[in-house]
Amino acid sequence: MKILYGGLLLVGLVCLATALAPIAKAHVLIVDSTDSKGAILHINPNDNPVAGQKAALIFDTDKDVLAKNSRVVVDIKSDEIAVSDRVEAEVEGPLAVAEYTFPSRGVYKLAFQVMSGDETMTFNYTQRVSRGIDTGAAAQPDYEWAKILLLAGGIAMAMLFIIAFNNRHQIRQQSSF
Amino acid sequence: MGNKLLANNRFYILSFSILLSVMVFAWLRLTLADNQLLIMRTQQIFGLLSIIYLYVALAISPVAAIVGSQRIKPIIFARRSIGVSAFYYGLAHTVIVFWGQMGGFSQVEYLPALFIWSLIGGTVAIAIMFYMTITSTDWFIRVMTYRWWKLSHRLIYIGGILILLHVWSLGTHLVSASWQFALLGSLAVLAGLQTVRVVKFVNKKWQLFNRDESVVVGIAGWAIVVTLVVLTPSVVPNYHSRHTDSSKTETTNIHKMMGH
Repeated sequence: MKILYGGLLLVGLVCLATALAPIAKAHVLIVDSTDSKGAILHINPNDNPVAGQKAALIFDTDKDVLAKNSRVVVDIKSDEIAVSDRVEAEVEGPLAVAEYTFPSRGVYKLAFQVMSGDETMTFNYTQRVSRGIDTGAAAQPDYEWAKILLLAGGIAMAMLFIIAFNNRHQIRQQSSF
Repeated sequence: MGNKLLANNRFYILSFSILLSVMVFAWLRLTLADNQLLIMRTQQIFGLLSIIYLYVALAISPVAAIVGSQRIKPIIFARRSIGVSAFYYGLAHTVIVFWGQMGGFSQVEYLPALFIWSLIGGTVAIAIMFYMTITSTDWFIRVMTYRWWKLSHRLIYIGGILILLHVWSLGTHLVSASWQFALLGSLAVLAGLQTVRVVKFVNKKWQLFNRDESVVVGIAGWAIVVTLVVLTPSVVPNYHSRHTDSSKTETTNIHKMMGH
């Protein structure tokens, strides 16, 4: 019983630490239009931007994508929302960071143009913004199958616990070498 | 047959693990409209669950050495299914990362070197876990004999170290102090348990230490392991911490934009 409590305490500490943790940055690999260079894209906050709030588009490159004199601009378009903007990114070493406020929920096409001398590389990415201001212009997907799956899973889990509880004595006796 | 299955705790653990994975995915689908974000969060959560299961599996032996195997026989019996569940989540994490997030092995060449090394470490770890899973049956124990089977299953400690390095180098949440604290705390506890087990085993086999010496050796061993864990970040960088530069005295605009 002490071991169980100790284990629960440890799990609780881990959960508390994770609950207190600040936002995380995940990563998406995007490749340029010629399939010759790659970059990692992060979008803050949490790769899940909020419409109406400033988002940071962090373009993290490696392997000679950005040179000292490189200029990076981001074209942001959405047919649903009728948006077409261009944002200049600030370049520092291998990073190019642009700030943008998505006006509404919806699907946006991002095109990172890396201009180094006469050469231009384009990295495309599609981002769905599903939080924040909703003008109703964008269709929101509905996943009925996921609701059914979640409910069915929950019922199956409950049944599993009930069966385990009902067989607890046999389990204790037979679950050994 | 049905009664035997329902009296086997491994059945419940494996069933629970599978159901949990389905429910986690369904819940994420309902809460995340963006497909790329769904893929990211699913692989992150499955990776975390794999680590948690593996941690529990690794903690069982030392706990048994401390409290006595007889007292936790059902838990020792369940360890096989806990390990298989760890592999299940690890495999799901791997598949989602390679084919969901990256778009296939051909994309690996575009990744930074740290990413590639971390993926290699993770791949070796999942291969070790695959070996552990397929040799987890009673038939394999008979064929290999218990001695060699047990020896080969010690590979999981190498797998665990590789997973630790993989998680540290690529873990997106590990740039935060609270996650680092949670990880260090968990590893310190596991290291403590394993140290006690090793010292007890060595003493039982060779009677090298008296009681006081055992305590000193145990604490020293534990301190060495914890020190190695704490020093890991100085040798292996975390990819996401490269976005901060502690050598700069002023916060640049970029760092402000990134939220540092």
